[in-house]
Amino acid sequence: MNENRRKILEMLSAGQITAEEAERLIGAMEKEPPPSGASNGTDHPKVKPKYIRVLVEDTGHQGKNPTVNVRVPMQLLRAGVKLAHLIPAQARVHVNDALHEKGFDIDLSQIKPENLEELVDQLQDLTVDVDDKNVKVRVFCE
Amino acid sequence: MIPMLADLRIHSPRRRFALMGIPLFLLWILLLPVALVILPLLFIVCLAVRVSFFQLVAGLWRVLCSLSDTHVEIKDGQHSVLVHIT
Repeated sequence: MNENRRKILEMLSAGQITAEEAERLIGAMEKEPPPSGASNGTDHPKVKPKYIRVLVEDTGHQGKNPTVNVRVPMQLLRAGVKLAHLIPAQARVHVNDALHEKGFDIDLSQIKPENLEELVDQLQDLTVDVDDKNVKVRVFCE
Repeated sequence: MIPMLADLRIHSPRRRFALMGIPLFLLWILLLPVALVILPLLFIVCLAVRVSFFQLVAGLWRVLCSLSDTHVEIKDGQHSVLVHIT
């Protein structure tokens, strides 16, 4: 079985996605043309991610922790970066300072619309898994 | 294309509230006259802070159009909120 198809079915069985979403994902996967280059023996077609997904699951038995399921379209990310690029330089300095105070060393001026596609392409391989005793957090692209 | 429908569901022990298929296109029609008032003001603000008005409007329009397929679902014990924009 195709690796991606197996992942989708696993996510469906784990209740992370609905049957409708699984159907849409499989449909999108089937529409994707096969890679033109050599396949180097693996079965991983390069599908452009359409969404960034954040899942927070309560793995504890008491069910006290909140569960979160957020799906943000990549298009929104692109639009947001382009909009953020319009922030005046003076305001950007304040935003950078505020981010620095919170512990995020990000320079907003370095995120340019020209570099956006590269950034989005790199996000395809991004998967963040945090396993705690009671909570499991997953951030990935789909 | 701008989002046309939205689903909103709020569950709590005391209250259950679900609106499926909220027609956002009606909201856009209602907001159109408001936008006509706001746009000149936005133009003046853009001039004051030296931001391209057209780029800003295009950026905001792009954000609006990109909202389709956004899904937010949060559950905390007996409380839950779901927002889905189509």
